[in-house]
Amino acid sequence: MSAALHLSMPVGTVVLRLDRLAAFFAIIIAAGGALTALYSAGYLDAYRENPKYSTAAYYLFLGMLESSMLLVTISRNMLFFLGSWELMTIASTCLVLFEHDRREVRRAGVYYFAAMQVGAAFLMVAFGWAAISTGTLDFDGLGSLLTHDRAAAIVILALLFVGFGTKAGLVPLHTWLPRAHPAAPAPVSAIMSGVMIKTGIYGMLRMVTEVGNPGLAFSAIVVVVAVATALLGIMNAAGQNDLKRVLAYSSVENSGIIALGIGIAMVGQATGNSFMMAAGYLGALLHTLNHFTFKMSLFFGAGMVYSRTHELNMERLGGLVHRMRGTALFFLIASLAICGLPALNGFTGEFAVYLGLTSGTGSGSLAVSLVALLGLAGLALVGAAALLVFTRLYGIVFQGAPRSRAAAQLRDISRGGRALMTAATATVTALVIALGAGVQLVLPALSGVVGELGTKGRTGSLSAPLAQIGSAFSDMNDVVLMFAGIVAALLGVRLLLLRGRSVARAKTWNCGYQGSIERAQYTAGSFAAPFLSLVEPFVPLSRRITPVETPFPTGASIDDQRSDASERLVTGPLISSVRWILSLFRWVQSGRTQHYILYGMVFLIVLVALVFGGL
Amino acid sequence: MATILYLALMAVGAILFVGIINRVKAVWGGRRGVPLWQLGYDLARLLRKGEVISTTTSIIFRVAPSVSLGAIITAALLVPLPGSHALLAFRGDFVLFAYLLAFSRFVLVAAALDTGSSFEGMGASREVTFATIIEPAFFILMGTLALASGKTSFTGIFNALAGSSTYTLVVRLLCAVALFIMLLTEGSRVPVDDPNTHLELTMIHEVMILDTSGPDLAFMHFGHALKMVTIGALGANVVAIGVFSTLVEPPWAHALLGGLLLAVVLATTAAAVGVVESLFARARLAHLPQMMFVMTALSLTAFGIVSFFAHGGY
Repeated sequence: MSAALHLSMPVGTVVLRLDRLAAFFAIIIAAGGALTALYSAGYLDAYRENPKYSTAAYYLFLGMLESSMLLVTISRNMLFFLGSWELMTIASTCLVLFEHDRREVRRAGVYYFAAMQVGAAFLMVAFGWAAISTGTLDFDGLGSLLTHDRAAAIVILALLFVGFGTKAGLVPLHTWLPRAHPAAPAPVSAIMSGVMIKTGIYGMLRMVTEVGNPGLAFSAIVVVVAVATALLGIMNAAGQNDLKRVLAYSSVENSGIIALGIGIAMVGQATGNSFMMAAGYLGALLHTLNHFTFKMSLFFGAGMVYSRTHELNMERLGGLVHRMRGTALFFLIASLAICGLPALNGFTGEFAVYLGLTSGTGSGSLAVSLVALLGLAGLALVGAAALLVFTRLYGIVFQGAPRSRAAAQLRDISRGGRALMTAATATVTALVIALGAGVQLVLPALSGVVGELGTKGRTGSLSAPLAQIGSAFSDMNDVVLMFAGIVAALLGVRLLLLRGRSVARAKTWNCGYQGSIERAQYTAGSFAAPFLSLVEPFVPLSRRITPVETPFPTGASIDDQRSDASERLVTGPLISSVRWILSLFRWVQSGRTQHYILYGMVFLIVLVALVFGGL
Repeated sequence: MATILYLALMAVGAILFVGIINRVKAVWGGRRGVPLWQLGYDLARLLRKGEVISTTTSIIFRVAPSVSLGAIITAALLVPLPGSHALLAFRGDFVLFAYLLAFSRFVLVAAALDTGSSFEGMGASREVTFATIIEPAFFILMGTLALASGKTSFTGIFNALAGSSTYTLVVRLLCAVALFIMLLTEGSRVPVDDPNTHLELTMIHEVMILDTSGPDLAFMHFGHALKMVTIGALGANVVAIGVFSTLVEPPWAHALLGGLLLAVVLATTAAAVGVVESLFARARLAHLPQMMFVMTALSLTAFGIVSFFAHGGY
């Protein structure tokens, strides 16, 4: 099932085709774009009067980002694809730079742009190589790669995975997420995290379908990288105090879960386990869809908190559940969902991935068992840690008593702006609930998409395993309904019991202490400390202490920061070694115009010599 | 039939489980101890009371006990009576089981943080930290059983393993000990936590419900006891592997035998918990992860043994 459009362009005929996979992502992109536009209309209200910021440019780039993402999904031509891909990068960079007068925003924007170019470089090399060996720029030509030149095909696919993994935020190329997200306006973070990083996932799914599966070893590496991504993402999320940085690292974690689905599907395909393959792809697609909904809701909520408090440091928030009831409710629902708890949509995707993993432990070779066990233990650890991260986030930001004046006295924002933001958040949170309760309704459509995935070198149809998964889902749904019924009954019993009885209000029990508890509450740092001390090597602590050195009281302070070990061990050394290599050529940049004209001359002469020399 | 018997046993067992633990501890300490049904009396008393609610809290605090208990009841329904089918069994039901327990944990922690009390925050922090060790170990354990049986639901796994005898003795032992550690941790018993000291900085579970009162507290206490017997029931199913392999006619006798096994295992487990509490002091908090990693190690050992046999013994 697809619709195609053939365009005549200078590079040849460019085919745009909308098949099920493209349509799936296009729906997410379209819905995400609409919600972001709605939310932005409210969020940017506060910036409209300020001549420093241009809301017109903002909407221009939002539209550009939206259309370039759509082009990415339907493009079947490598050059056209790369063009759309770069357009997407430019548009999103400009959106990140919205508050361009702030220094940290400019730095984050440049870092983001550079990281995206590194990812794009991998794609360019891979597509260029593929185009030369297949003789066509069309995606359809990729299918012959694996049969003609196996080694080259594997390298090309690996390059493509690195390139797309950068966009999706896979370790160790995820470092742009925690930088770009806190700097960008909330709706931009929402569309980048909820929608744009999914184009990386789309790329992986598309490529593994077009090129084919290079075998068990490659697939196992994908699983290992995915588990590492999810674990490192959630550990770092526990170590951050900036609300949006926590959410950014949680996006890294969720990209890891999606990639784990893809990885085990590839393992299943490589070993002929069609149940594992179907469950993995279904899990990846479901989690892609679900993460879009709850992550957008969370970033929308974070934007609401920011616009009312102008504060993103969790340690200075608190007690918002009483002052921002609507936002607090939506944020709670989305937090429950992102922890993968049943009854909400987050569980469905993880459940499918778990189904694939458990079928992997029970069949095939020892290698498959071990890979599946790694995924099983990893995903369980990620789930438990996500619960820590989001109870911490919700508990510190929304519950308890306000920890600062900013949280106690909310700023006024325009009614219209608030209504628009609330409408967008409510809509996307309603999707969280609907996709959780009505997963049965989307399952047939998603099964159709799964049927189109990994078609090369697949033995047999996936309809039988998909039917088995469907029946597990329907039983699961029954239990979830039962759960809802039991909870409703218990709540009813509680209300009945308390009818007519005294329900008194008193201060929180603090061993008899009756004073104010605001500053004595448990902090975000101390909440995560026991867990972080267990995983210390992955999120090393750097502590700066200013001690009291005189007999008289002076300003003492302590500042704890958790850093990302992968940045220190992998990306940092990589960047510095590249800089060292490039520094060897620094003499070329003499700064004298005469030299540059000479370079141009030499280049032209060499070019002429090459052309006429018959090369 | 089996389901009704199971539900009755679990409801009564939850109350008696705590009773037996306390009785063993009392006898060991040379006292007569409280009645076996004490938890039942306490629950009845709490259900008749009103409530005192902190002014810092929101609706989350009031809803949480019901949601938490509901999640644990639903999780308990997924575990079969030894030798029989669970009320609902499907592929991957153990995933739902673990995530229902996680749901109960989330709302419990959210209720604790709702009060703004630093004590409750501390307990909540420990609760979620220990879960990050226990949950992966549980999934390794279930993955092992899935590998051994080729099935992925509680009922399927335990029924498929019922007849096998090659390597089940060792696996049974390893799984039973691993589940016992899980029970001590999830149930907040010594050496992880001490349910007798209500207000110490070392506390985990009891401190999280400091501000809860009345029917809500009754829900919390019952849910907590039910969680322990649910893990105990999983242990009974593990013990039943191989012991309970052939179908007994008529069906009601079969169910009755399963119920008897469940009752015996639960009583033994409770006595074992009581003995542990009498012999050991609460461990230092910094040492607890080491004890919990023992569960991971046991599960991994079981996985090693099972995969050795499953992949043809190399």
